[in-house]
Amino acid sequence: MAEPRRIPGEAGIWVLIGGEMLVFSLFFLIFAYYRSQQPEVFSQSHLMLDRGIGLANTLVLLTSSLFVALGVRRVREGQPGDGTFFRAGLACGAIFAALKAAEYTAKFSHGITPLTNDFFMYYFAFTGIHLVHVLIGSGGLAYLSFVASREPSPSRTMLAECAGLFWHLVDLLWIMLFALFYLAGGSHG
Amino acid sequence: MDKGDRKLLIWWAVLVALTLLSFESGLQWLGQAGAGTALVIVIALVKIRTVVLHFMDVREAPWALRAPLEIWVIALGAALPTLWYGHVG
Amino acid sequence: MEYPTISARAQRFMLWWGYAMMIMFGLSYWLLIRLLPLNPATDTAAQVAAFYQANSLPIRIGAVLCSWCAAFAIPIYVVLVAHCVRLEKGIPVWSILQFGGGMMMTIFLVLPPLFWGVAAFSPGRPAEITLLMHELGNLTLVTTDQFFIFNMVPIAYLALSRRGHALNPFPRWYGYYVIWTALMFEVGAFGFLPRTGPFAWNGLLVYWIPFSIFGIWMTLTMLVMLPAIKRQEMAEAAEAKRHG
Repeated sequence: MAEPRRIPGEAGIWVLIGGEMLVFSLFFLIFAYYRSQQPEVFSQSHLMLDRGIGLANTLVLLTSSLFVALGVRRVREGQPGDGTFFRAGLACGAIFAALKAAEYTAKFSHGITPLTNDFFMYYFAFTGIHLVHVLIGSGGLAYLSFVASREPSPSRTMLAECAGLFWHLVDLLWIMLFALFYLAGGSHG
Repeated sequence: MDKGDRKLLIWWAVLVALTLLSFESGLQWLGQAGAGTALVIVIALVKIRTVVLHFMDVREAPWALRAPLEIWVIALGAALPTLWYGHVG
Repeated sequence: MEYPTISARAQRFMLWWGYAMMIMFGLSYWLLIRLLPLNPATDTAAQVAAFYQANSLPIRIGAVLCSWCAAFAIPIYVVLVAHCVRLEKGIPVWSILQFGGGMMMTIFLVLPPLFWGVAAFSPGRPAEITLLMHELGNLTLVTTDQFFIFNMVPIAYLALSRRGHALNPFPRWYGYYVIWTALMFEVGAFGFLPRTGPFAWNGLLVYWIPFSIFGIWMTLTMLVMLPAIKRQEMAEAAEAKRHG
């Protein structure tokens, strides 16, 4: 590949992405540390999560990332693109939020709250903070679905790349949340 | 659908396959059921790296941007299992 | 084109005034009020009462100093808003929102030293009452996320949307840093839930990270605004020269 190296989006947005990755890696490390302090509580609680919903949400976000990457490619190559790919990504974001809401509701109806134990404290806090990111990223995709129909221009490309980067960030943070909360520890705890 | 689209589609398929692989049945199929959590974390980090390189286009980025991200992935790969197993085994 | 402006000298004065008071606030909080970091949320009423009995005088002196300097952010926000209005046409709604949010946010740095001062004022009262005042002060410090979003989102929006605007004082990374700060501050509200761990009121995610990021943000604002004021001054000097 002899293509010249370039910074995806613009340099500034990597301040935000890098900051988010640092803080979320603290979340992951905190979770792993407290898991080792209270292995019993954590492994029993982890079995109470609905892995089906977790898997569905992972696949939904991966697919949304594919849509967004396809959409950004079209914008970058100056195609007069429409916003279809971004609207598809947005729909995935809505499904993710709906499934998360269903999951929270089911937990609350079983009397499980952030105060139940440390596992659920971290579960609600970390996935809740992540859900806020999903909503902000969805706002970006909604905006992009309009921007995509504008005339090709460098600023259109930069906007698309930056909103796309934020959406991929949301996706990759969920990948680790899914692994730590739902998968790690296995189906027997 | 051109070459670039096909590449994205293939990486998406790889990510889905890795997701399914990180369930017990997948780990068993790998013959690694015992490695459990450490493997689940490593697979997640491989997925994250795939998103960073191929969806976020960091494979085309200058090394000043790419290197810290690669180090971040490796550092988490070392730290997370260490902390997880810290007081258990 | 006429841009509303205030003199570079007044802006520099206000910035340094704000930062001097911020340092005074930080030192009073650290050395006199002695709640850096906050005491564990698991302390009993007797332990909390004992803390205020042992430190009654320094805490009250700290409260006196904070009464003078805790609103340190106001002049800093005035300088920010003076630059923000130059980026807007007509009624500068984003600047007004930024300024209003900043003013209101200031209250939540004013109140905690006030509450701690009240807690220390009558160290002989029943321990539970002192505990209540202590909890009110601590939770006011860490959970108060109500207003900052109206301060930070407009700054980030103006910084990022006015690309290439000659009067934009904010580098692009600064706009993104403000967004990150806003997101990290949200975590503070979790201080209402647990008493131990990273979400407790003295924990990593509720106490240390938001306050470090706030301190860095204030410092970066200084580092961004001083050169911007310099640029404004040079542009005005060039303008004056042209008109002879």
